[in-house]
Amino acid sequence: MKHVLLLTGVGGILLGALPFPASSQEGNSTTGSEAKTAASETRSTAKEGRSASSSLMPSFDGSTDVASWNGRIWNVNNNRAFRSQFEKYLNTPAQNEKDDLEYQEIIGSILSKLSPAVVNSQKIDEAWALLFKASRYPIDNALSADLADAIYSVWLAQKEQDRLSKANTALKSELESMKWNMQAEVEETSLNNRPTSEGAAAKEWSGNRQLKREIRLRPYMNRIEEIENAVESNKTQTQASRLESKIQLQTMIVQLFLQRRFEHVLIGCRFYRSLFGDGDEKVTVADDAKQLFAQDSGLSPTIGVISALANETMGNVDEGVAAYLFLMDKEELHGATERLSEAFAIGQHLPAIKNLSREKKRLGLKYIQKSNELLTALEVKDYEQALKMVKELEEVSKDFKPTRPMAEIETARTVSRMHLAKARAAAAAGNREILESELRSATEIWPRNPELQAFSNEVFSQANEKHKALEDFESLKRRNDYRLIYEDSARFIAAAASDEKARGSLKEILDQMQLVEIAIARAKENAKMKNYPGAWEELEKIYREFPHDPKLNEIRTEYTARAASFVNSILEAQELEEQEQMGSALAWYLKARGYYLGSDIALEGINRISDSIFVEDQANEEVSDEGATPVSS
Amino acid sequence: MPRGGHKKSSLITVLIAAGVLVLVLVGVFLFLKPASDPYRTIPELDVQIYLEDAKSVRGNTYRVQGEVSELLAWSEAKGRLISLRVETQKGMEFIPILLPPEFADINVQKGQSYRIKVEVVSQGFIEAREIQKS
Repeated sequence: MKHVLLLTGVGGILLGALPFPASSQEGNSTTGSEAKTAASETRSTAKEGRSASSSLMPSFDGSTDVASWNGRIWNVNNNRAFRSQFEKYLNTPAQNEKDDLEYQEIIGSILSKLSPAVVNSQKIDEAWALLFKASRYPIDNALSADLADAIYSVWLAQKEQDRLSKANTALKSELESMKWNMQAEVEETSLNNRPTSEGAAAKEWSGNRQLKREIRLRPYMNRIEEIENAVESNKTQTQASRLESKIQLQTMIVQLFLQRRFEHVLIGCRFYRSLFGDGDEKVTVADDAKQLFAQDSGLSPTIGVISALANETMGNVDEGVAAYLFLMDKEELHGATERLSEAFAIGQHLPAIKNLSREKKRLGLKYIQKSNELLTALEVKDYEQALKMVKELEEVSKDFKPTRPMAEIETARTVSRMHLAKARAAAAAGNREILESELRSATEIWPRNPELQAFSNEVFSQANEKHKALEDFESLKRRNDYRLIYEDSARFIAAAASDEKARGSLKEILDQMQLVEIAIARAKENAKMKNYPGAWEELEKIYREFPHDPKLNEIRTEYTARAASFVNSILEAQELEEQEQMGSALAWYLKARGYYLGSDIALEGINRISDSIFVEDQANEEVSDEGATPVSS
Repeated sequence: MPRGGHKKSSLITVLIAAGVLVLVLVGVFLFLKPASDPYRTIPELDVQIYLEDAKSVRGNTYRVQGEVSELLAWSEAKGRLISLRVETQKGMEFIPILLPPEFADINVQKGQSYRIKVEVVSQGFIEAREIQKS
């Protein structure tokens, strides 16, 4: 329905909404069934009362595929076909070749011969003969021959009516004769032989006499009855024949009207009047067809009404063409092409349309092409192209009003962008379900949205990147290269956001690396104070957990060199402790403590070995950090 | 010049007396010195060897002398574990020495110097057998 509103409101776009007739345009002979179909389709509209037929302006109801123009309703089966047909028309030369001119001359001649002012039997016969001549031209689509056949059928019917009339006259004459004979028979009966006496003899004589009279009159009575029946039958037959021929011709005229062959409608109407002399008689067609004509005037259709409508339509088409030429001069392409398309839709077969030169038609072609492109772009929801077309149409036409197409374009773009924004949010949150749903909605509204394309690429790229990042993460994890994971943590965090397992592993690794970084920071602080044993020890505490970390190794190596004696003492102590030479180990720890009093490693070693000596004594007392404790006996 | 000859003989007498006194003092010193280190007959613990491989000196008795640097641990049953700072040819070293409970009556304080007769026992620990303040 959006398009309907748009189409009725936008200049060139209206062309797409204009009717495409139910009948074929290029003259393939239209059958009665097609006409019936058209009538049937219009009927449904009329019944629903949806048509805008009361309006004198063209309108289109997309819900029913019906267009109306000047009170007439036309079935529209294919708007796109009409658009291309109209565009093709604008590109074709005027039909003013010899054949076309001859044909139009013949049609004009027929109409003039049937003109009420001059018509007579001879001219009717001549006009009828010219119908066959006209039907030889392809442009006629043999409609003239069909009309001539219908007229001939009327004549045959009228001849039959004459024959029946003559028969009735003869029958009536015979009837009169019969009646006279019967009367004579009755009067012929003599009373002379009547018995004189009363009584049985006289009664018998009277009975015999009555019987004889009835026997004599019976043939006359039977014949009279037969003649009366025959006369009555002939009368009925005459009336039926007349009615049938009338209906036949009326149907043909209505069919021609629906086919928009208005010249033939006029010819048919004039023949009808000549044949039946009752142009004001109601047209006896189906209710559907009646309603088609009655909608505008509210009156039952007559041949006179149909003739008047055909004349009016032809006049309107002429005016439409004239308006087109005038508006083109004013560079008002929108209105000009609108008028011409209306005229074309209704009067496609009329000389005013056919004879319009290609040069004049092409003036509006560019506008129509752009209008059609705009309409197509809107139909396929290519709003970028539609926007471009709107701008171009504004440039070429002074009276093009972009409000409605722009409203649809902007609405679609806005809604699509809103869905896209939601999709972005869903992507950021790792909500794949909403992401897909919003992308689908955005695509349905504006399939060729460039932002959608970019976002899709981005999502696709992200998906690839994510996949690669996760692969890299697993690979680095297998190699215990936590340092690289830590340094590229932003990438891995993004990739693992929607992967619970990877997310857990990554968190664990990053937590560990955080410990390494803290140790390194502390070591550097110690180093700043020249406390290299302390710096080394900070790293050594964590080194055993992360022996593969290159940065830790590098700094540890540096501080090992700077605190060589201390480091050597610790390492010796640890080695000897492993060999269970606890005494020597303890001595080394003590020596290390001599280098760095605050050494936790040394203290822990001392405590550990001391504990091993006093393990059975619960009352042992560990040495304090501060070293020596005075011993009192 | 009889006055000059008398002075000369007096000077010689004084010098002789001084020499004798020096000799007497040296003799007294030499005589008294062995009496101050009762473990002089016991070999001194080679701290460097001990640090490198205590097993090689395990079961042996040595003497060590040094300054108490700290008390490492203590228990009534096992006694006290002290750290003794010992001078070696390579510099100052620390060795742990366990003072068993029988030395509980000796006040061992940080900074005091002791001569200690020690034995290297299992796991390379050093246990004091005798102790004397130096």
